[in-house]
Amino acid sequence: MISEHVVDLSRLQFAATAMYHFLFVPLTLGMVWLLVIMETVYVMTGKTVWKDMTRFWGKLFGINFALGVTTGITLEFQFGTNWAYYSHYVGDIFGAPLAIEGLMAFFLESTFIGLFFFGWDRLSRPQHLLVTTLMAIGTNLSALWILIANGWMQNPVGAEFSYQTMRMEMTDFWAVVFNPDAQAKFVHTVSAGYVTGAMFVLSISSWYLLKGRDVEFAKRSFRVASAFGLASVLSVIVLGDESGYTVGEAQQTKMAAIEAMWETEPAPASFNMIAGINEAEQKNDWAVEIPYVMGIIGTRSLSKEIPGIRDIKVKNRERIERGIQAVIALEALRKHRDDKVALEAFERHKADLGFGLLLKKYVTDVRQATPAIIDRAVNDTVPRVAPMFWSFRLMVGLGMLMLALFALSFWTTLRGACAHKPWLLKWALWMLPTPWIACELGWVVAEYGRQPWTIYGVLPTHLSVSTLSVESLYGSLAGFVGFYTVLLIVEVYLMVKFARQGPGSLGTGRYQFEPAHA
Amino acid sequence: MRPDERRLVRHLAWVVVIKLLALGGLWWMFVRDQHVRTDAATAAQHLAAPAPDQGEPR
Repeated sequence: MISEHVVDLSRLQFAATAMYHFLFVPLTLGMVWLLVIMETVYVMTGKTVWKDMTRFWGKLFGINFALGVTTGITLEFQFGTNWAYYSHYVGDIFGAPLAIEGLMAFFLESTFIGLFFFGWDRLSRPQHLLVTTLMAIGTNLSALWILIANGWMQNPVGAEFSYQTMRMEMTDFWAVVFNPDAQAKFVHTVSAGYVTGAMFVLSISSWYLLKGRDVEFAKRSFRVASAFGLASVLSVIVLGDESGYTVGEAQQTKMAAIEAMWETEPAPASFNMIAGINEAEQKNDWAVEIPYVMGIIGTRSLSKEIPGIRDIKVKNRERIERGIQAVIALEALRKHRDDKVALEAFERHKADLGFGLLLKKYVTDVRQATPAIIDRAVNDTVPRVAPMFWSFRLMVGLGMLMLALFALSFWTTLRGACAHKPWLLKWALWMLPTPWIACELGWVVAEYGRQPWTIYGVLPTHLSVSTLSVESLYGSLAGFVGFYTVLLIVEVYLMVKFARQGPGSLGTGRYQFEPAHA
Repeated sequence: MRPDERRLVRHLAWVVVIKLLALGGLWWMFVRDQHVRTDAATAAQHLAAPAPDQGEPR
């Protein structure tokens, strides 16, 4: 059996690198559409300030892209090194979207980003706008394929397990592509990226307005960011609700953990706004509830129940017991492939094979699983509730705060008063980190909430990791964290430097703080 | 492209090159030798090691 220490370190390494990677990604996803909007206005009106806006914010976008590009490669290293059994088990399905994403990133995204920066003097206005638009589409399509891969981990459709090859094999490519979980995740995640881009532009523009510099440039940037941010944050909320509904459909355990719903409530379930979670006794000591809301979010009805954790555990115990039969049949088939009795038993129980494999954390031979061991495996099927509950609420709370800010900013800019509301500008400035925090919390909810599985209901995490040494894991973890920390420091340094310079860094002679040689 | 923009592009190009070298270094140190070969047999051994036949000595 694989040491828990190796499993934990592998998870920590993947989580750390993925979370660093996702500091860069959402800004790229969001900024690129703001550039499209600004350049479209420039092409339509011919006003130079809009070109300057596209070029200045494009410069900050370029810094983020240059520092963020390839930060995802270490994740792919890890699929091979730390998660070799995972890669074997699901590589047939998981590899396809990752490969398509790689092609898209190189051939669409990178090509058009090059043309965006070097094409200003070589392309006509409409041609350059087309390049910017294709860059935006390429960037978002990259995200689509990654989220199709990730969505499949949450809701593994269009594939089935082959006992001959000991891996999942794709049976329906389009079911994988149009997996509702993946689609809901895609729109929710890219919208969160749009909010990040909008907040970035809004905050820096607010700083210019607070300092009273480059006011016309900053006011236009503020207006675009507040309008785009308001539309995006509304999308995040609506599409997050859709994402919640698909979670409810595919992953009842995650939904129950997010809501700290220990018991199955009569329909429609209420929503626990805050609660005192008592994990040891599997109950909430107290809770502030909003009637009906959870039933509507989770089932889109007033008559369907949402199962609580205790009932889910009862069902999971049954699945583990059936899973034991599947594992025993699989073992027999591996010994004698023409064993018809074993094949028939395997076909009958294979839907629960993953649940049987959960026992391998405690026993090599599942026949030796005692009721106490089965109890432990049953408890493992639900992630810890408190981190899920509070991460989700903090994410939603920040989302609401951003909604209020974007709505007020939009209203104020429509009235032409944004430069005269220092309290709003200061608020916008201090809100700069919030979309990143909300994005990272969203990933915690999605990925921590999937535990104990790498592929929900199919492959347990502890069976997915490679048998690496603890020393090599500590070494590579330190190397990756050091590498990403340096990148982050360079990113922040360059962003602050060029944001401080402002549009004057373009050297057009139209703005304050122009470089001396301009 | 203005001189300071050219300088920024040059700096960013260096960032990407240094990053690729750093990634290459990390790969060299931590990934190159970590061959975990998996095929149906090793996956079967890992996931579903056949239990001994009944009556067979363990």
